[in-house]
Amino acid sequence: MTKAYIKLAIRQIIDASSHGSFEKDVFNDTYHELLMQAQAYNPGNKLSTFKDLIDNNPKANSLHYKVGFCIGLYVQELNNIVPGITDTLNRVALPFETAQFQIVESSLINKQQHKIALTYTSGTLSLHAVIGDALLLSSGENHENSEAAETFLLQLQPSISICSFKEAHTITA
Amino acid sequence: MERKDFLKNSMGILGIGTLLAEACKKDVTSGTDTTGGTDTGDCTVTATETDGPYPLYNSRGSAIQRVDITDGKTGVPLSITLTVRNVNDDCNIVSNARVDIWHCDKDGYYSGYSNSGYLGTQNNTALVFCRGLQYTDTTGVAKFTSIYPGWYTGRITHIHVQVYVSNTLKLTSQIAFPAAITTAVYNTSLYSAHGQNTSVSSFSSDNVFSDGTDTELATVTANSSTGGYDLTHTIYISA
Repeated sequence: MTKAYIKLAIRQIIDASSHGSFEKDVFNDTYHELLMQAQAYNPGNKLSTFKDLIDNNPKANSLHYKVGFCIGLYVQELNNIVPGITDTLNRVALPFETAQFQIVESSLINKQQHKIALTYTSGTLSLHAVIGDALLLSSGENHENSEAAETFLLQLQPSISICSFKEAHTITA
Repeated sequence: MERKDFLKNSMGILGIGTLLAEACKKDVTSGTDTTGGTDTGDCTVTATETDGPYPLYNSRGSAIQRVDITDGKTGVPLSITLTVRNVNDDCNIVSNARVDIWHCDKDGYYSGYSNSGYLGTQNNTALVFCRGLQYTDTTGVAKFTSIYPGWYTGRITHIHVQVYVSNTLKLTSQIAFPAAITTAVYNTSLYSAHGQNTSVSSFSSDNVFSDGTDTELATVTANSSTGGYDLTHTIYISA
């Protein structure tokens, strides 16, 4: 039976310790772009952290999306697959529909303090059951009376949240 | 991962955004918004203007380092030729300068954002139309192919431009269009549904160009082969 239709949000933190080519490209390029973009909000180059920029000029909050746009090709190259997230059997990758970039914190003088986040939002999934700390899911909206759905188990973890929930209606024939 | 395509999905997008079109107003808090230019010898620095809320920047991962920035958008063709010169170097050209431009489509909508206009709200966060990045060549020129920008409430027709030299931001400005040509374009079939810009009908009532367009008004001429226009403009930076 289908309990609900949900969307998942998965937050990926990328910092100086991150591995993988995608993560390194995102880390390096967003830091480079931040240094360029920050100039518009850093008269005299007196400010040294991302927080300083925003405290000094709230418009600097726009740096989240201004910097985020610079990794558009890298995100496209993910082919809508959330990096690093699979089902419990490491068999099924989780697709996303949108990816949102955010600067968590950064320093204009110390790249090691650069930390960013990508929040991926999945398409609609059918939630059939919660088994232990795992969600039994299938893609799309599968009605309970339809034929057996092809399901997978996804283990809950701190980086995963449910960002949309719609209760499935019971169909009575 | 043999079942990577197990789940069907739509195009991924990047971006945040529900910034509405109170776009591109002067922002006196930005500290980057003086106008009038600075005389240094034979040429004058192009006036600085706000980047507005719709910039879109680039890096190796950018999808918009390209000449043709149309991305399928319809409109009157516009060939853009920008030359960058340095007031601190006898007005000589600047090669390898990064030039970012961005403007709205014929209906007044920007890519990269969800924005509202006369056709309602459009979520364009996944799109990058009418945005481009080029480095100036050995003659100091960066070229783009696009469409004549439309308009949205509160601003007169313009293109945003930003110039970097060696990773240093040298200028944030805007490019203005001759009024008579804009009027003619907005009378053409593709633009007539939106019609003339009744919200800001002259530079004097525009909140960016009201203090003058001496260094920002482009030369725009008809191009018989494209049926559109050629825009040429020289941007003077202090580098």
